[in-house]
Amino acid sequence: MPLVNYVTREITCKIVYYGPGRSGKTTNLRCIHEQLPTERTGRLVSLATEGDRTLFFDFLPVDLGVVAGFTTRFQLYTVPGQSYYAATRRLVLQGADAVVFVADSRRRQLDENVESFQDLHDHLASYGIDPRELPLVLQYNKQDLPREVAADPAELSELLNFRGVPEYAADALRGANVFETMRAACGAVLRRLAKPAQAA
Amino acid sequence: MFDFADFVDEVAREVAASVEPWRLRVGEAVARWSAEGVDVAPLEAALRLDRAPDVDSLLGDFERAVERARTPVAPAPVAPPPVAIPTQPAMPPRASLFDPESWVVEWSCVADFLVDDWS
Repeated sequence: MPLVNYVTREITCKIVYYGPGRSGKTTNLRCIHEQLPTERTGRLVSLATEGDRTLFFDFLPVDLGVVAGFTTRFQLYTVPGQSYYAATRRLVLQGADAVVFVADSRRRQLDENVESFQDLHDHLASYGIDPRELPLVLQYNKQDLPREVAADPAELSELLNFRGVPEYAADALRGANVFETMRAACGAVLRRLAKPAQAA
Repeated sequence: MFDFADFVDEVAREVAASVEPWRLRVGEAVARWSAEGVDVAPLEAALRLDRAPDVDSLLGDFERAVERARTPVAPAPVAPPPVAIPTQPAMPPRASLFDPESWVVEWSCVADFLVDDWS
């Protein structure tokens, strides 16, 4: 649940970008980091990378300042996509207020997407979280690739979006629909504020 | 193109629509009283409630309780401190008083003087 402190008037939300290896999770955060006003973002921290692959996680704080009387912060995380980093993914997922699932649209990665999506649900279940209760946004990344290489959004939606959550066809390298994805996740989190358990 | 100002406006609308005014009032009271060093545990407990309590009563009762705690009361009668009983000097054993003169004479520092005085 988003952390709302009514005494200090602060809202802090954790959004985790989840998905298979090389689907473009870190690219999403890099794009957000580059496009947001510098005074509103902290450093994009990438912990332990090997080449261009995330081995631990990335972290990007976004501070919106005082919004509607509340100091509002979003903390964006990525998880390492490789299957052997399951423990790290589970750790990063802890306390998430929303998840952005970044799917790799390449046809040869469809099974990886399904496997990662199942992995997400398994980890949520291990925390006792009903996946239907957690805000989820789907992003079908790499839609810039030719159609013979990349599945179209409808196909990916059929494969992954059985819950009918918000979904975006994206090209994270060029920023297409990266912010729309983030906005959808932020909005979904904030709409859950009026729940009793998070009040501090 | 991403419009940051528009995004912040959207967040502001969501926050304004989602936060509950009664929690804001209780939160303000917690901030105020805790700054004055008052134990605000009852108010913090109210913030964790699922539904809005009667906030006027809650805050009124709390304020009156604080005032009562701050009102000076007549000091309770204080029992006098226990009187310290001085330690009595130990009396010399009766045997030493039996022949005081010889006792003094045996005291080498004064023995000569006393003998001279008598002579």
